[in-house]
Amino acid sequence: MLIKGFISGIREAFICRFEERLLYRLNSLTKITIFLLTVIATILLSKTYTILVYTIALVTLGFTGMETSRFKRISLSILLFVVIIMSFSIIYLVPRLSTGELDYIDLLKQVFVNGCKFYCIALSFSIYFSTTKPQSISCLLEKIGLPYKFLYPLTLSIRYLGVVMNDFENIYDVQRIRGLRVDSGGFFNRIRSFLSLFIPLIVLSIDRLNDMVLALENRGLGLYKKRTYFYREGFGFKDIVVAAVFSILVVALYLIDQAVLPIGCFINLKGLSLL
Amino acid sequence: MVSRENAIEFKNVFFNYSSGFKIEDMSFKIGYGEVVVFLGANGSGKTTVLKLIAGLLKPVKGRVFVAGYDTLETPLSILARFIGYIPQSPWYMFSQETVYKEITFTSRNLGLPEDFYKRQALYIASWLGLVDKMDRTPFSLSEGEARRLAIASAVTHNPKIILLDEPTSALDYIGRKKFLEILNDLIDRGYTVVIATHDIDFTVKLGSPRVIVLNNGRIVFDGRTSDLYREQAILEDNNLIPPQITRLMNIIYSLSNDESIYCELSIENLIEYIVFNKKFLREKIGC
Repeated sequence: MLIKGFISGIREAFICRFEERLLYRLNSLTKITIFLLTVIATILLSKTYTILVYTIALVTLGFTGMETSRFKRISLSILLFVVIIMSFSIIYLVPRLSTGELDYIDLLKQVFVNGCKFYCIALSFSIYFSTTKPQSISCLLEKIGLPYKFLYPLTLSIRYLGVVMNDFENIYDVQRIRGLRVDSGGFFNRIRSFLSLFIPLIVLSIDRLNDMVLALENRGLGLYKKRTYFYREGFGFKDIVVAAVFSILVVALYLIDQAVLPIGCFINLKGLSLL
Repeated sequence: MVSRENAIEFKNVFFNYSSGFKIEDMSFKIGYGEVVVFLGANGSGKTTVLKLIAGLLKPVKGRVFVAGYDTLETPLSILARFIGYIPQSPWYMFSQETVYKEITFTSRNLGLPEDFYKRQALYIASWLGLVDKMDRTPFSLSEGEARRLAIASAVTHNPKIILLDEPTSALDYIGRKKFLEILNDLIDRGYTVVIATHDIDFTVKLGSPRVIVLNNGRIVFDGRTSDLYREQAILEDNNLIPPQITRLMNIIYSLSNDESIYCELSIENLIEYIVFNKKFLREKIGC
């Protein structure tokens, strides 16, 4: 069940199904801005409460901007990685307890901050890919100056991730009904079981890629350097509001984090020392 | 109380995907040795029903029994003993270095005795014409050979039920003909065969099996193929275009009102019918 949920989560993160929701209607530039702002926020913010506020803001955007079930699936698949990141943080930080550099509260804070940071980056990345049409991604990158000959295969590979996950799910189902058990047995048995899932996946993928390359060559990809687009996405009022809210939020949280704004002190004074 | 009289039993089954597609209150029974074809357009729920039978999907409400085992409570490793599943693309199955290892894959996973599956593999490979390919890699096989290998690996562990998902897709005329022969052979050997397809022509060539027509996750028809052809509204609603021979039968039926025309759906029988009723049909047409 865990593997099935994980496959479904990854697929959800990369397949764009257009819905009449806020995030789907935003310009891809706005969403990439949110992603970049998130990366900046995770670099700049170090206090528990500031990163927590940013995480809540991002979750609110995801929760209101896309279907609840889809958001839940994406979040759950990210949480699996968050747990891994937090575990590595614990392994890395535990030796510092003995040297006295950290106490248990600091350790918990640090692990929590690392988990939140990873969750935010992965979530904003998933939001971007799952709510943006692949052609909008390539259109945006072309504006930056990247050649279309490389961008088209890039958008194809993004679309292809969903297909690969579909194939993987089918292979997993077929092999399970053939008695394959990937969740039991010793380490080497499990590796062998996973090979039975990955070998057909790799063979199918190579086969598909071969067809894809033939089709692209056949249709003359890259013959002309300049391209025109049938339609271009506009930058509307919603885009300005969302981008502005997140920009202001990052700046404000940074100022609070650096104790330029006194809200952080206020929180500490209130006795919320764990934050 | 677990009923072992039926190979498969759906008891008021409810299932839903997150995409919104639902199976609602589905009930049917399939006896041992029975051949059942699930017909329907794309997205009607055929593959979902097969996956529910295989235990790959679990009902949200209701019960699915396979060989008397409740799929909700029985692990897949037990259900796998009773089921041979052949997916739409046989390439989803192949993961072993040789055809022999591929054929014996399920038996090895289920921990069956080596001498049993070795004997079975040789017997089935010779039946399906794969003996001379036992040392080859499965990925070097043609589409038709791959289908036969998929069948071989699905039946080597001697299951009771064979599930086939869209078995005729990507097969040419010769491939279909050979596949049909194998399938009829499987039916003769007493396997319970469940097929999900939208290929109504293929259903006719299987004789007149039981057909269950699905539309949007609901059963809209459950009966013999020959009876289905008289249900024009169901055929039209589900985008099922009957083969030309059946359309001709329908025209003759509209003229003669003689139900015996539907007894056997074959060209030979139709010719025989026309020859015997030549005079009567001429009168009806008015020439």
